[in-house]
Amino acid sequence: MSMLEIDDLHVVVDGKEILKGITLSIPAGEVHAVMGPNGSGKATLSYTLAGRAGYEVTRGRILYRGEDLTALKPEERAAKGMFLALQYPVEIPGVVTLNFLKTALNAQRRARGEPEVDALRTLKLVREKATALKIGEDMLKRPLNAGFSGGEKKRLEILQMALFEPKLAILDETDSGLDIDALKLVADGVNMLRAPDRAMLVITHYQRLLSHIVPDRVHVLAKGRIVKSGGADLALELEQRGYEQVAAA
Amino acid sequence: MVAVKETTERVADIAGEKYKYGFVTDIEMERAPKGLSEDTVRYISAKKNEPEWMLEWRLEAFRRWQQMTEPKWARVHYPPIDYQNAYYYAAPKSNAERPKSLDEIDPKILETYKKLGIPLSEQMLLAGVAVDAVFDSVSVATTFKAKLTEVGVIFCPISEAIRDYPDLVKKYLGTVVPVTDNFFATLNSAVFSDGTFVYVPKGVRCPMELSTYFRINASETGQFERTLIIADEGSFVSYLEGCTAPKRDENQLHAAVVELVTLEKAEIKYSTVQNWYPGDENGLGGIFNFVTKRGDCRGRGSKISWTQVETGSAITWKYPSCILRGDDTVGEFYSIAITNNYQQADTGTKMIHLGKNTRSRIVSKGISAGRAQNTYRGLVSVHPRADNARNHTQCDSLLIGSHCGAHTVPYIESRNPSAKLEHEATTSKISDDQLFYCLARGIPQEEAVALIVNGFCRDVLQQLPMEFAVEAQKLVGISLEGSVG
Amino acid sequence: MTALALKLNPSADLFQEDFAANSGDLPGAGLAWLDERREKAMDAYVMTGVPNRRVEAWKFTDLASELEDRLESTAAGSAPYIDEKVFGVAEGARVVLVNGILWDVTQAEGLEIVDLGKIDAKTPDWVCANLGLLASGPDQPMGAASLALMRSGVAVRVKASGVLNLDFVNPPLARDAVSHTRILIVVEQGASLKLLQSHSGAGTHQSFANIGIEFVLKAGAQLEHVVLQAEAATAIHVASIGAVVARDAQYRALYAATGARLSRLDVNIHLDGPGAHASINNVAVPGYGIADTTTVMDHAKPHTTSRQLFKSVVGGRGRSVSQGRVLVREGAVKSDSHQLFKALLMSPRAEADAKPELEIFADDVVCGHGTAIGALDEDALFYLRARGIPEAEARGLLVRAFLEDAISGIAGEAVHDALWRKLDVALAAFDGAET
Repeated sequence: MSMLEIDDLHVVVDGKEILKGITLSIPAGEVHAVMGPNGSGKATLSYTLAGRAGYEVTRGRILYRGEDLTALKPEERAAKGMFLALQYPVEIPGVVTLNFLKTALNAQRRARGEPEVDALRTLKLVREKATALKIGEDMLKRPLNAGFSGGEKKRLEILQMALFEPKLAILDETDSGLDIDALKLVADGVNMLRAPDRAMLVITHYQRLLSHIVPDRVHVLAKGRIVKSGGADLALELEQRGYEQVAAA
Repeated sequence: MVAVKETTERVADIAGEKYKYGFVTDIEMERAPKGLSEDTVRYISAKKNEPEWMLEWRLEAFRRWQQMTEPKWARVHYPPIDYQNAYYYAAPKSNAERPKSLDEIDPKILETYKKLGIPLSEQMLLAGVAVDAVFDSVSVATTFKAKLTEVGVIFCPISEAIRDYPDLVKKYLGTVVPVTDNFFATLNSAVFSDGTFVYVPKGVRCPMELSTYFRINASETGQFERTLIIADEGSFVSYLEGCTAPKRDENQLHAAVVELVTLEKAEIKYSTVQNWYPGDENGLGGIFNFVTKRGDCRGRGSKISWTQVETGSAITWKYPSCILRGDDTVGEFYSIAITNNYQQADTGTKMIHLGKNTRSRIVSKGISAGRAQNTYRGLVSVHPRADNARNHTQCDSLLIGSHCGAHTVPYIESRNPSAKLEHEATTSKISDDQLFYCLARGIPQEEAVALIVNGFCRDVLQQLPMEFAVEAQKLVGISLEGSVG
Repeated sequence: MTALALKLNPSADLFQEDFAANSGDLPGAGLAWLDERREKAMDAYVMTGVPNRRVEAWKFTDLASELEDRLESTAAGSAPYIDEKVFGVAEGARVVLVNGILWDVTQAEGLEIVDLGKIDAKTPDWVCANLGLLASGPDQPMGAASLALMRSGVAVRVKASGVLNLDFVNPPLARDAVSHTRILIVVEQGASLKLLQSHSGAGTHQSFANIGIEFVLKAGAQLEHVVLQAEAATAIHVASIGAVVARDAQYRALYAATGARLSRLDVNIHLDGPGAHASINNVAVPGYGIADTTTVMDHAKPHTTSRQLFKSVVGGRGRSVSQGRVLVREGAVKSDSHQLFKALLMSPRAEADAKPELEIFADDVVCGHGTAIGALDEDALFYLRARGIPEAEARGLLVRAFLEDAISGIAGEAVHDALWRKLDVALAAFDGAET
């Protein structure tokens, strides 16, 4: 079954068409990468999939596990098992990370009609996942993302992915701002979460993340359209020959 | 936007039950005749079996009050208050003979407090919290008195203190907030009917939280309570007050006076969760809350800390202040003021540095939503003798929606070159990025707003006693329901 | 006005009386539009009279108690003066006012200068269209009085670009006296003006300079405004400034105050179109008197920005007052405003008062303010002394550094140096003052 099915998607932001007809299908169990230069519409694609206000779908549709998402609010999409790891995770002063995780986890469970988990159980769950990502207790006690380093923020995003166990994860420029050690740590975290009933969409500018998270398919995004698709080696080709040449070919 | 419409509808659905303290207890009341005159003052004094000196004190206040005019400088607008069209004393008839024990209290009153989440039976109470319950004009119950008496702490209705501890009352009453301090304090001095008296003797650390729960029940009635807390040398007490009132179309006046005195090395921590009925979403009804609260750090090295969570009332006019008289004294003010719909709050503090090495800290978080107006007004004043005085003030405002206002009016005066005063203020809105981040993690909009606002208030919430911090956090969320569209 | 109010406020009737007795003889009397504006201004003034501490905006500065009961009007050419080009800037036009009365005008290309003391039916339309509309309402009562009682002044129109030296010279008077002077400056669309304004004086009698200044900045106009107030120690100086800043126009000001027993700058800026910007740097070094700068920054339209930086160094028995009200009106989204007030107290009798106020009626804004009052940083002082710099010199260095960041970056080197010459004199006098 296809986890995500994007069909002729057109998106307008501030009166300007950014995505101009994207068609894409990701089956369960696969990892797809969307690569593109600055201004190609990568961020617009991830925000649109997550349902951010201001990203207006003017044509086409997004099917998630067969269901049309277009009218759903961001929190409804999250509760249905979609997860977006942001390029720039947001700082929320005063909101303790652990409390945030518990609030989000329970909001999703509540929306799905599942029983909520208490603070103690949340802590236990979080601890299990956190160790692998080298996230310490102190980090969980600090306000969300406030004063976190780039690597800490990204690891926390992956921790959330592990905690929420989404069916579809969208990783938006997860490699940006990471040194090689941090990148490996994050990639390992992602790879651990690869599963037959889970799909992932990795959105990135550079190839380097894809040597750690090897995708099943690579799509090249340029000026709001997918101009080329291929296997994992397409990423390498892009790195060597540049976007312009590959897109023109 | 679809989301907006749904949120609005959902809010409309729950608006009816939003203020869950809005019920009325049907109970037979005894009232003073309507209106305000010397006779009213005499009536109240007689009801309380007060000594002659107390009556004279009240009458003097009343005479002075008649010469005074209502202050107009605050940023609050309200129709003129008709002081003759209200009752100044209302007490449950069943309370005529004050019950000796909890078993004798009118079950209707017990039921009321139970509904408010304040069960008065000691077994059911939060362990470690003693409660004085004030119902309209009278105290109806005080718990854990015996346990407190063991360590010498006096915790009783002030009407009782006037009879039983006249020397203490005479020595301190009106010494922090003078009878003629301001229009509302003077009115209170004339007609105050009950309130709480606390005396913590030398060197005693009060073994439990003390708290007073104020309930306005009767219609067309003002509540004028008076609280006096004295912490003798080296003692410590933590005190908390909570307030609720029924939903009514009329505006009811609440004009309280609170006086705190700390002697050498004593500390008082005073917390308030004010949730008087705020009026409906069109601004109809609600409590007019004009309150004078002041602490006097009289003894060297003493400390007074005010924490307030102000979510209720149609009008809030309130400036809990510290007079840092003794050397090495410390004053603190931590405040959250939330206004929604048509609420107006003008609140803040005064830190008066008189002694050497005095320190004060102010953290104010104002949140304004709907069509509300929220003002922080504060004074930090350093007198010439206050060598090495220090103040730090952080004053942040959050606006939710484009029809509300948030205002900051700080007065900063330094007359000592060794003093150091710092003040910072910001005004902003909840950022779209923060909101989206929460939504994308599956947290619904209203919950996300509550979460972000609670984070914004964290520095203040942390100051509350643990038992009440959780309640206060919930209150923050409830107060803002319907504010985001 | 009731008898009681008059008694509390004796100076109020001084100006009312002047108006009642002399309004028929004031410049331009009989011009219907001007008579009407003067009368309206008088009504506005009467609402407070000469402000005392009960007027909230004057809470820290009791003008009423400082003013002498009897003040005569200064007369034209009443005294000789020493011509000093305070800023040492030779270029551009020059206007000299002696004791508040226009004395001399040096014209320059691109500027049109009109003598308001000779205003009549032939006065150009742009003067009638603008004069007296700003700095004349009840929120600026002394500005209102300056219009109602205007005896002299100039109106200036800038069509392209130019420099104007505006020197107020106050030689010693024979008795206590007051002058009411108005300045109107219209900077046309896209035009720019550098305005260098100075106040200097001497004498032992009280001279009260009451000045109303109006700036009309049309779309894209630029005004750079430097004020150096170095009046005599007996002087009372009140300048009420009203400015309208249209779309994409900029007002950039540096106010410096070193003199006067009491000085008050009463500034009201109206940011009236998207892209409008105002920045105000204020430097005050009172060593004996009160130096008060009070601003109202009115963000009336979306996408307007303002920056304010106030630095005071207070010595002797001096007092600095810094008040700033930032108003963001409903709908003025994307307004961006910041103000920072800092004061150093250099003596046990010195005082600093600050009231930075925010009044915000729009949610999508970035507004903030900061205030810091204290002494010189002892750590920095120690550091400098440990490097061999004597204490007095080290203090001087730190004070200069403290002030410099509010002074640099405006109006060029000559003006910068001229300001420092006056500031250094004032700061040096701290040491002799009572400590």
